[in-house]
Amino acid sequence: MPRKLKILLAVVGVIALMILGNLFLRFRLPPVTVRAESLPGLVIGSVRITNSLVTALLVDIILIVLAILATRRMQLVPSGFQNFMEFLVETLYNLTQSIAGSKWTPRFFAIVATIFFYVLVSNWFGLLPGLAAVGFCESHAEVAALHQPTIWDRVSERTVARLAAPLPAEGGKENTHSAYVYWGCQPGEIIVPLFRSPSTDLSSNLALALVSVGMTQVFGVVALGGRYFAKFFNISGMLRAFKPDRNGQRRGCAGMLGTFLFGCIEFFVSILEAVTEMAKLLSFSFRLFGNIFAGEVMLLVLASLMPLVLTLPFIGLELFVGLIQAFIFYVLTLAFFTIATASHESQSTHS
Amino acid sequence: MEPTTFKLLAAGLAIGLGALGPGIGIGIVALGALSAIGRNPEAASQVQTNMFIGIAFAEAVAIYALVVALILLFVV
Repeated sequence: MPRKLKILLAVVGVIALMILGNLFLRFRLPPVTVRAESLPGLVIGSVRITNSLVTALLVDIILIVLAILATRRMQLVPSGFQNFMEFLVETLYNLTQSIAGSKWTPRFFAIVATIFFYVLVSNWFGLLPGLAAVGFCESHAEVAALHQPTIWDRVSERTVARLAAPLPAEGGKENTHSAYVYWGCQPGEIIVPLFRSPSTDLSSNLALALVSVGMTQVFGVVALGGRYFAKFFNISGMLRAFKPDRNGQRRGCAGMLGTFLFGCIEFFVSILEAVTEMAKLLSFSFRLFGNIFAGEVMLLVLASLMPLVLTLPFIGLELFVGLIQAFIFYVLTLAFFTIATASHESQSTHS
Repeated sequence: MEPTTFKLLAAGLAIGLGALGPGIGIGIVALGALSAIGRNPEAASQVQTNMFIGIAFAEAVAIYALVVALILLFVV
């Protein structure tokens, strides 16, 4: 078969798929919830189990099983799967060493590598096709009732109300597309998915960010002791005004005032440093959440515009974004660890 | 006009205007990194790592705008 004919056939096939998909596979955009949905019937104490928690546990199990499979028959000269996993871990270890230096790498590596692999697998888990269709059929009222009252409800009262409200009546033509009737569900019911990528749940990302920022403080204290906190509350500059200057002479009135004002600036900067530490929590969790959640919503919207073909390149893009976000979480955590363990002696000697 | 109109308008404006600055910022970061790699190709891997960190910081601002837009669309 000549090459031109092959290309022509491929193009015709793709166009036919697009048209067929648009004719027969059209669907309405399902309701998008920013919060992770609670699973019906799964309650421990007063805590409702959300689908992102279930998925997080599943991701953990996947990682543990992979690790066990890779290390089951350890060989000195690795081959096959063990070789592949060793390549991944070794690459990551070398990168960690080039950023953090060889002294701290053994302590940092376990945490940052765990974060990298966990975030990577959970980002990619949400991209599995058909995952959103696995779940329980629930009526809108029941879904609304499943929302446990938390601090979030102040924000999301309106969502619950909207979910509980009856759907707007559709015109006769729209109903032929069976607007909100899901496969295997009664009309008027929606699917509560069993799985949801933990990265698309803000609480899960906040937990990761807390681990990252918390361990930064721990490593800072381990490396520098109590001096670490001087970074956040620096009054040494102000106190320096009342001590003799570098030549051992008492300062004059103007010198004292100038040094004191410089000390005030240093104090203000150190307060800013403390605020930055808190802002890291926000930026860590929002960055991961925003990227992954927006990616999945974008795939949904594209699939509702054109069910076949169009989503394929964007799934590739989302695979890349998932990898990059996992890498960024890893690199930023590592960079903050490295900064926290670095000594600040050199900074305090300026004039 | 209905409140929904303003909601949609606000969400569109939030992400549209919010993406302007980070877009320029990421462009500048990539410009710097690419010219650095062009001058010193041996340092490419190190420059790339730092470039990704810089891009992540610039992109975080766009993500804040995106989260605001998502909240406007799906929560409020």
